[in-house]
Amino acid sequence: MILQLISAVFLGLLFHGIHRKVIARIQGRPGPPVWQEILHTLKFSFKQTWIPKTASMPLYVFIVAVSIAIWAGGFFVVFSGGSLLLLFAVFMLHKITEHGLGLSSGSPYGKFGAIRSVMSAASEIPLFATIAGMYVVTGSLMISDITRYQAIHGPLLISAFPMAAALYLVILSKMHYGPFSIIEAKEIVSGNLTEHFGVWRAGLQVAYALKTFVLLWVFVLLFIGALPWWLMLIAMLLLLVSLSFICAFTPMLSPFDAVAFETVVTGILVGYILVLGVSG
Amino acid sequence: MKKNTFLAVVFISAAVLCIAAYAASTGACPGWLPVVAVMLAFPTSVLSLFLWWNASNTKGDIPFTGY
Repeated sequence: MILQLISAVFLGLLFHGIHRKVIARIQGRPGPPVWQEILHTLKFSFKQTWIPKTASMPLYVFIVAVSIAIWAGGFFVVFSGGSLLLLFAVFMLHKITEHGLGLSSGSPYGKFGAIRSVMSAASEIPLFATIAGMYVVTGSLMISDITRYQAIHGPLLISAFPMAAALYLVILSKMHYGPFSIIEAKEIVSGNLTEHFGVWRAGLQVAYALKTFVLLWVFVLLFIGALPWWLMLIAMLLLLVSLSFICAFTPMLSPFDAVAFETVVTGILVGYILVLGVSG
Repeated sequence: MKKNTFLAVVFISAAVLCIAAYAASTGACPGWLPVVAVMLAFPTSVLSLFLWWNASNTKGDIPFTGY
């Protein structure tokens, strides 16, 4: 249980490193070594750490702990084959922590990131549509039931492709350097992460590594099915590389365009679910 | 907080993690209880560990949380 959680943190950090490497290679740069994000986390954990004068101290510190806690919870939801609704709740809490991170420091850049985090809440709507569609197709919201359904009926990636595309978009919206990463855009320094440095940033690195691992894992479970652990890791890696390709080729959208795009995708998906529900 | 206090928190939270993992593996308590324990103890142990090795041996309260 604990070993799996710690392994997930290291694998998530490794995935972040691979993500950066793939983007760099596509853009003709050598890029950092794939273990760079593990080194980053260690580096941040050794950096001098304090709390800015303008920060709200309890929120500034505890939001980091909450970020790790919710993704640890998300990990166990997937690990135990739990309900997709719980995972949706983790996503909602993640949105609140993103917002809280930006507001807690008192930095204007952090506040811009926090505001963009609220604006980009549209990125969670495709997830809601995916969950609804899952229930229409499989008759259950439990991840364990959905993997059993796929063992009998085949991967949902083929039979429910629009839902897979919607969840893919949700994961893309959570990737670093992606077209929807408007909350940590460079024009607002590092957005909501700007003032979290040292130990606090190392803690956030741990939380986001868990987040990436959980999202890639749940996508493979929901749309390909339960696999042996080594095959699961390969599938997650392939999914990550495909996301890295999109991040490398696509410029960051403006906040308005990002929200509009995700809303349109959700609209299309709602139409698909209605057709699916009516036709049975 | 002092460096030794962070170390104590690391040990306590690590002990909670071990107990939760043992309870989950033996089914000694309801399944949600070890998960809640891990959700509380894991961030505490990670941040305390980082703060412990970040803190200096020679100075007082590190990280500086004053003003």
